[in-house]
Amino acid sequence: MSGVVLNTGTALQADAPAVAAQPSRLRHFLRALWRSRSGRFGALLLLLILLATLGADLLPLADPVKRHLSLRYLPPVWLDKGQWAYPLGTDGQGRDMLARIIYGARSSVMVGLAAVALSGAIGVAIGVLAGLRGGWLDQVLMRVVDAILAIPAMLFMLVVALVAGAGLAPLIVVIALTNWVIYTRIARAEVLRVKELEFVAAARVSRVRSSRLLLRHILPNILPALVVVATLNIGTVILTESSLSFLGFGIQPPDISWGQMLADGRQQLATSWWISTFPGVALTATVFSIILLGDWLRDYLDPRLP
Amino acid sequence: MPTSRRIFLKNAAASASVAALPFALPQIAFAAGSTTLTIAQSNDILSLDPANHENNSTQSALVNLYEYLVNKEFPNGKMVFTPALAQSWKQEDPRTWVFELRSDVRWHDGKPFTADDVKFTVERMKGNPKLLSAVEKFRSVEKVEVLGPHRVRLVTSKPDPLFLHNFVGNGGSILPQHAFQAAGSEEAFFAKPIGTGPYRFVEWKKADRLVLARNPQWWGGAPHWERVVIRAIPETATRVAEALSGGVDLAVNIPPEDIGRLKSNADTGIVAFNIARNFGLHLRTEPGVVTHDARVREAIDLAINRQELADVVADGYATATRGLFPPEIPNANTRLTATNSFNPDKARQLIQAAGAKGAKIRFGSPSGRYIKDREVSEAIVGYLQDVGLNAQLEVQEWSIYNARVGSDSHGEIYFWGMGSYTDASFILNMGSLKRFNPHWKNAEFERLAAELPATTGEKERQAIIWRAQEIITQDRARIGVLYPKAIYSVNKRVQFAGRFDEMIPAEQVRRA
Amino acid sequence: MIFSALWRLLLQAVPVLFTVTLIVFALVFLAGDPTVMMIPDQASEADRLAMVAAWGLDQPVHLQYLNYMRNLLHGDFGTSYRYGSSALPIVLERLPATLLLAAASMLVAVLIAVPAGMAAALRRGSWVDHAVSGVAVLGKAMPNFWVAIMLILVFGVSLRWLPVSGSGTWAHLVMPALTLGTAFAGDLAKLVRASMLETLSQDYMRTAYAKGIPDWLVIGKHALRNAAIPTVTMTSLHVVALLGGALVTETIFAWPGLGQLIVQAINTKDMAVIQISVLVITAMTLLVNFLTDVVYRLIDPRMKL
Repeated sequence: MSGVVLNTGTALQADAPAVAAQPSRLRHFLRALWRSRSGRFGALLLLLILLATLGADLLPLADPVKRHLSLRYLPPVWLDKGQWAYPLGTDGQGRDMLARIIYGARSSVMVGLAAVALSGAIGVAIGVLAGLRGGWLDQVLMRVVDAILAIPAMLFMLVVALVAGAGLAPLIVVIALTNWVIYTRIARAEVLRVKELEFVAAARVSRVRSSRLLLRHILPNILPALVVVATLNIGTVILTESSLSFLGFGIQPPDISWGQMLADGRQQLATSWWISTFPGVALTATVFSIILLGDWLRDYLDPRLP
Repeated sequence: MPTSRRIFLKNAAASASVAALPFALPQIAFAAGSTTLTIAQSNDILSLDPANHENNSTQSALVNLYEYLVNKEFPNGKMVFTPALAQSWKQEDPRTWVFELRSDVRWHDGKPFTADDVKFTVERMKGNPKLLSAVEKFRSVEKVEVLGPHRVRLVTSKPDPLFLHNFVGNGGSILPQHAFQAAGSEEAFFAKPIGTGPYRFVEWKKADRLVLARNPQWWGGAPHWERVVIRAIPETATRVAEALSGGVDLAVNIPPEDIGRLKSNADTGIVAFNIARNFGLHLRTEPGVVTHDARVREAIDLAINRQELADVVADGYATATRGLFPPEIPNANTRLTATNSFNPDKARQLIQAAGAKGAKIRFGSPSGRYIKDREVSEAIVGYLQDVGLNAQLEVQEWSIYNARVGSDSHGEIYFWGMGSYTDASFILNMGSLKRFNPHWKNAEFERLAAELPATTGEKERQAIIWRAQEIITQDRARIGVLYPKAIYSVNKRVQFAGRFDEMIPAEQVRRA
Repeated sequence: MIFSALWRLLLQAVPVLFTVTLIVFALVFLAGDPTVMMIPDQASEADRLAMVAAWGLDQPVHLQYLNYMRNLLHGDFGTSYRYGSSALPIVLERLPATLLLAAASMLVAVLIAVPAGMAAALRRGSWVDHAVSGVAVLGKAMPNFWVAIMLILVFGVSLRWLPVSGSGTWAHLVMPALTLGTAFAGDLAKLVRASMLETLSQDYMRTAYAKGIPDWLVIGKHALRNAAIPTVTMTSLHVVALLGGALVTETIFAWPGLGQLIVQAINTKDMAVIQISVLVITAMTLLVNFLTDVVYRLIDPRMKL
């Protein structure tokens, strides 16, 4: 679904934890991020978006849900009849577009983070379980994963949405229930690979309990791969939420979401184009920055991948 | 019964003049240009079986293919029945009707239309409870007797004042007995259906288009269009774009915001007209909810600025009302107008008196099912908040919304767009009422519902039906808000005024 | 060899398809009663219950499932609630349109991505390279329904170059294919670039140059062939995504394909149509995966399947 094919077979060396002191790794990370043009751009843009999201209440914004029936369909301030009080115009109910876009970022970010966290947790847990235990449990779980992967994601989510209903919480569950399979494959593959490594075998010989095995040896190794996938996944999830909202299944009014705003404005594109265009730009910019960051992360963690 | 004969004669006189209308207009010779009429619907056509879809868009297409025994027209805002396949009809006694059928009608395969086809159509419906129209059509018919090739008698189980409505509208189209038998199965027949209408079936690509071609043998004269293409374009922006670019001649369900563009475009214009639909609110009345208190319900009623909804939210394309049936519907209570219905101060007083200030009210609404449904709901929620109620809007996708109606799990208020009914006596259909207002009880209303079937006098029936509408709106179990109008885009090369029943018979669409 | 591959395909396919029917059935069943949406306003609760009984929806859930599976194995794919007719023909009728759109989108993607990726690789580090990367990411970040509507506005309404919706001529295919194709042209371009870069840096390439073989021959033969495998992988992933995934695009362009049918079927809880659609798409997905493996074998016989 995210279309990312990770070559987990090669790079990640097992000597990761032991080496230098922790603080310089962070500095190294930040310096590399700054040096890369795309990484810098992506990170800054994302930071800007996050700040606006978190600090929305502190900004001098108009009320995003207050209707003014007399101020409907105001164009952005630089066009004829635009007003400074509503710099990006108003929608069909006279609500301020700028405020709605900034508050709408919250829904996208929340859904993105929550759904990815949830699917990551489920997916990794199942993947590690399948990898460690092996045998018939592994086979059954992998068949279920195959089945879910074979059903087109959007379709599956729509059917799950029928059961779960529409709204923020059900939406997160719906996306997570489809999305977890991405993480399972990676987790399981890595577990299988690490199982073979000598030090793990040695640790097992010395009868270290398998849970400690898990925590100390396997998780740190799959973490980089997971981080990259998760980062890119957030972008995909945000787009998915917008598609579901567009179809009417996602976040419902009076909650605000960019996908929903896009759907609202699609009937007026020729006359009041700003209602769909600006949320579309916001969506694109957010996902764009996430992809840039994710790509940079992948390069940083495994420079051998071209 | 003398009353029904009077009705018949009155109708016959009116219908004779109305029926003559399409043929009285001068036949305009075709100018150079396409002889294909293209119509853009907002829903997919569900089925070619007129008895199994219960969908306006579908029937709107099928009226070109099949025909009814009688037609419904609304000249001067009042409903009359006009002859179609039935030339005339009379009621011999309260339970017996005799139709004289036209003798010059042929099916698309050339075979003659006879009374056997009428009998077949009725009995097919009664014999198959899975057909969607079986719940509303021919329920009262007990027996069908073929008296001659063009004469049929129907007997009802009890006197049915709405009897004629059976033979017009969804499920009323007459189907050919011989062709069904020849095809062997229903599915085989509907793969290549035949009817008696002015256009015959050519092909149907689901979710894309239905293509019909002229039936030169039509009893009403040579049809105007060589081909009629009905396309399904559910996406509104796309449908409007097609209208603007001239890709379609007629496009239905245009949102008010696009009217400006269509008017300023050189080739297009719009028509707006009344239709059989009402936007209303259904309220919970049972103990334990905030709206159990009649003062709260009255406050909700008084808080709504219907005129502003009509003028601003619907851009003028709706009529403010307190009623539940547009005035064109027989027995609609026309006293239920919106005059003096807006009184937010009094609403606030009532809320205070009832101790309901700040009370949470869940308001359910669909989105996009009807034009402007969500916008109207959002505005109403705003009005309720203005008078001190903590109204919360809950929008749901249609299938979920509908399921909530079925499982009685909406909040205190939900929005509903009731439509396409025959007669205002529908309000006394307790079976249907209970599905939408499961907890409302009113002794007088129930008494009226019991009395109505036994009442046959026109005036007496009207009194009962009017009183029923008064009771339910007075009690605010249902609050009437708007009668929305339909808006179609019409290319300047054709003329169509729109029909109250939202049908689009190609024969009524003329070249300009 | 082919037979053993086919045999393995079947062995894998059957349990997957079976699991799929179970999952879909459970979900649609949990979603609730379809009759509420089917009955007209005039119907009473008694009428609705009669319909429930007529459709066998009042039976216990496991019986409903068993009946469905038994019918399936006998070739009876169920009846659509919405259309009132047999479900399989309804679904199969829509399939060609979706396949056509998928093929056209792939073509658009390849036509954009391959030259762009090659150009970026050959001019590595230059503004061409950065531009291609930037546009690639942009293509992925833009919501496809937004792209669709903007295309309609520009090419359909303002310029009137293309028909805005429906199907019938190749002109109808352009905008939907552009919408979907540009979405993953980006990924493909990056992949082509990456593959080419890797190949271009190999030793045997330098040997070939040194031997005096013309540039284009070298690039054409070796670089592209090595780019082929990951390209095939990504293509197959995207074809799979397209098969069921063009839901929103088909809706906006009124393209009469499977995606649009599925959305409507889900809206009306039309169990039979949902099941058949999912099964058909799943079967095709498995088929595509299988064919991908075959193509791998053809490209590089050294690969173990």
